[in-house]
Amino acid sequence: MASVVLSDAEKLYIIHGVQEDLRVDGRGCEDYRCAEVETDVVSNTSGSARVKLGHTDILVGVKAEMGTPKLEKPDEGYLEFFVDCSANATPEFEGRGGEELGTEIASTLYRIFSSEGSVDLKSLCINPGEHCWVLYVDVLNDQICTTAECFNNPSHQFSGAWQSLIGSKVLVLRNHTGTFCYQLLECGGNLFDAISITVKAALFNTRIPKVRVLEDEEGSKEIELSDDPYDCIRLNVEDVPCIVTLNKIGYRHVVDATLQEEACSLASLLIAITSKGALTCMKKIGKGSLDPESIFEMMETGKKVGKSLHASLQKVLDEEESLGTTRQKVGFLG
Amino acid sequence: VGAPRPQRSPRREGPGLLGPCCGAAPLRTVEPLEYYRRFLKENCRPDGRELGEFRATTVNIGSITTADGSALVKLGNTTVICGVKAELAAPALDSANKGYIVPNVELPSLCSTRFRSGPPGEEAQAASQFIADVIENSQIIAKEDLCIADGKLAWVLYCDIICLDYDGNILDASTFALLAALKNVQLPSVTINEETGLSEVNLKQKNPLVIRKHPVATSFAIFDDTLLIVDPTAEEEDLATGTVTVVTDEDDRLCSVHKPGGSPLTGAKLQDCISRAITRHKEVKKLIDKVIKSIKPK
Amino acid sequence: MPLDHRRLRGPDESQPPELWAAQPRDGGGGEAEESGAAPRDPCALRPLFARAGLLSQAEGSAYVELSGGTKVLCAAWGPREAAEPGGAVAAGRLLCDFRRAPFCARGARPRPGGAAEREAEREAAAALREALEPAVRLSRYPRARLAVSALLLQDGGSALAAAISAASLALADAGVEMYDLAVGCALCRPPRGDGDGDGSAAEPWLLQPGEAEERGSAARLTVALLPALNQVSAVLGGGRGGEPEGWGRALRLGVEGCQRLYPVLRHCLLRAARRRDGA
Repeated sequence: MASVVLSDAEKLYIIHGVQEDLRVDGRGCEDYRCAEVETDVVSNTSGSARVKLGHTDILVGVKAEMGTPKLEKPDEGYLEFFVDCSANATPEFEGRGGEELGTEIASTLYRIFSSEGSVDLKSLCINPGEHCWVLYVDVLNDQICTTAECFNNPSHQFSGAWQSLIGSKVLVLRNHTGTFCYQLLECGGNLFDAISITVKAALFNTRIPKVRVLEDEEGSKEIELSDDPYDCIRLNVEDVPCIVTLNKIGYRHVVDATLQEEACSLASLLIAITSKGALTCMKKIGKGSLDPESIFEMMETGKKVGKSLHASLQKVLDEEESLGTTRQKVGFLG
Repeated sequence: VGAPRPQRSPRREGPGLLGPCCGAAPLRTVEPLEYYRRFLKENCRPDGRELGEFRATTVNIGSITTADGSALVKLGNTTVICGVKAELAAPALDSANKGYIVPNVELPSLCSTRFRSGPPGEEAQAASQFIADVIENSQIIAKEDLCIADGKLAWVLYCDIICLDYDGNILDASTFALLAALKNVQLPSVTINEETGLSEVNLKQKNPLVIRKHPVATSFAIFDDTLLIVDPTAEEEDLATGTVTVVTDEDDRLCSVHKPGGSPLTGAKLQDCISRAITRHKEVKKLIDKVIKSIKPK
Repeated sequence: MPLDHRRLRGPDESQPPELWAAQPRDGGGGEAEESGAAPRDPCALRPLFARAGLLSQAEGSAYVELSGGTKVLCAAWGPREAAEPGGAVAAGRLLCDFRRAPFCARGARPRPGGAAEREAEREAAAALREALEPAVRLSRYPRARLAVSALLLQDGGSALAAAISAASLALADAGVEMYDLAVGCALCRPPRGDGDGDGSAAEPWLLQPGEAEERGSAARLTVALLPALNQVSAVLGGGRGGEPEGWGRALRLGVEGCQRLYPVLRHCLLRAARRRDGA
């Protein structure tokens, strides 16, 4: 996890504040930061979204490709996730640290999306046992202090995606095995929540072209793509959960922690909540431990916060959708 | 829990040099070779064995129920487990009537500090190749027996050998574990449906494999270019100037002689090794027959 | 798929015989040790066998077996000088390695070193580290690393939980200073008959599920507890959505299960210590 170094006094200040339900930025323990959500920001993907939550800035591009279903689930499509944390974020991302964080994010996303009912994977199936839609997920994870500084430093290993991002404001995601790409532009804490919100928004925005399977007399099958670019299927994202991370600070817990607050927390509980308030995934992260009673409290808070998070996200997405193509695009470096 | 206890890390090991020693323990740490020479001069080894004596050997068959056949072999501290999994595949184009046997030796970081986690290192690769050679040369199983339908379907036997505790002589233990595991394998019967051309597997009806030959490996460490000691421990292997492994079958025929470098060996010495290997084969065969018999009645 | 030059190659593709079985396997329970049909006491723990200090080459080691087939072997090594200068990092680091034997599960043999297998092992290793870190007094080992290696020999269900217990036993056996043992316990929620698990009411969670129960489950949870301190060191679960209250009940049940396993592990450590003193 990207982290900042705080002195003991700074930590104490934050901990005491949290104790009084007053955080450094003026929020209460259960308040989320203001989030900016924008969809359809990358032109050559099937769907994309960008979410800015405080200083955490994440971009997700979705592209669907045709593949073969997995052997054990012939009538379902699947999602693939790739996470790449490059070394220029924090020293902890260097070498194995970044790899570990990347793996952790990817495996958490797998865990959420492989659970039944989050995305209707059956709707991604084209032809049982032979063809299905595969949604590739490539997570590129960079924390940048100031954009210019990193761009000018040749020692930072920028991926191809980054390079093209600098060149033009259109992100070309091809060179990363993937076609479905998350990009964390800046990390200001609460990575998991922000990523999950962005994924949900991007999946909402995703349009997969309609295809038909034609079968001729000899029994050989052919796939025909619909001519009409507007003839496409949308994913039902109603049951896609959002992650709510609850950081234990002192005797209390906070949601949507900043980097500074994360540095004060030894253990946090990450839970995935659907819009109906059902919990699909939970995980303790961090070096510390939690006592059982506080876990129960955190789960309660998580449910409450998660439900309202879903409601406001859906509202924003619907509003934006209603604006249609007339909407003024801001873009991710805008 | 976790009451502080003297660390057993090697750096701190060995009672202090000035300790009330009986002469042996510090010498072992400081001058291990000299320490060994003193024992070997008396025709015995620090663990009380004679030069030609094997460590206590035990074998436990069929303990892993998720494998089609398995065996755990202990040679003193050295512990090796072998699990065989059978899968179906199309035979290779150039040998349409043969199945496959794919051995794989793993030396995980768990078994000794000398191995790191990750892909197999040099020693594991060499051991895998050795096992593959033994399988090929001894004809332990006729690969034709693994073929179900010519050119269409055959068995693949994946033999994964994992070392759990590495205290020397991994090759003997691995060969033994492989043999015992293969003797434990029960394959489901497969028939090819004439009409559909598809294969049908009956998991209820199982048949044992036909083991044609029983190869047994016997390893020696060469000390000071001349002295041969059988079944070396990890410490002995490290001090030795060379090792040699002889594999024989029940007809006293040589299947393989493996001598990876080290000090040269005279023909007479090698002959000694072979005759020791032949007696070892009888011991191992007796042990394996006893164990197989003891689990049969169930 | 990239070629693996370090291992001997078999055929490019092979299938487990189960795939071609004439009759579909009856829920996989055919050869399972416990008959899946009989409803079992959800709070029943499977007998656990634990033995510490059995490997000669490791500083500490432990073997944990759950009746029903789960077999895990763990080795631990005490403080070594950290390989990379961690800079300002004062506390010691705990390195965890988790390997699955290729023959540990029913069905297809995973290719050792394959991408999917590596991923699964890495995730399990990370989970193991999360569960153990709060139990080990890492601040007592500045600039040092401690290592734990786990090898899953057979997966008969609740494997990660067994590995957590075995790993903390191995660390204690290696003489590493710890606050407490981390005891692992797994649970699963069977799918409901009508197929619509909305997670309401009293859905039964099963303690320490077997492999067949785990495979058919709607949701799973692994809990690790430091019993003497009553602190939960690991919570890892997921599956079909359910009310947080339901998950809370599962957590409570899991914590209780850990408490009940604790004496067995303590006893095993004591025995190992006596054996060593006797030797």
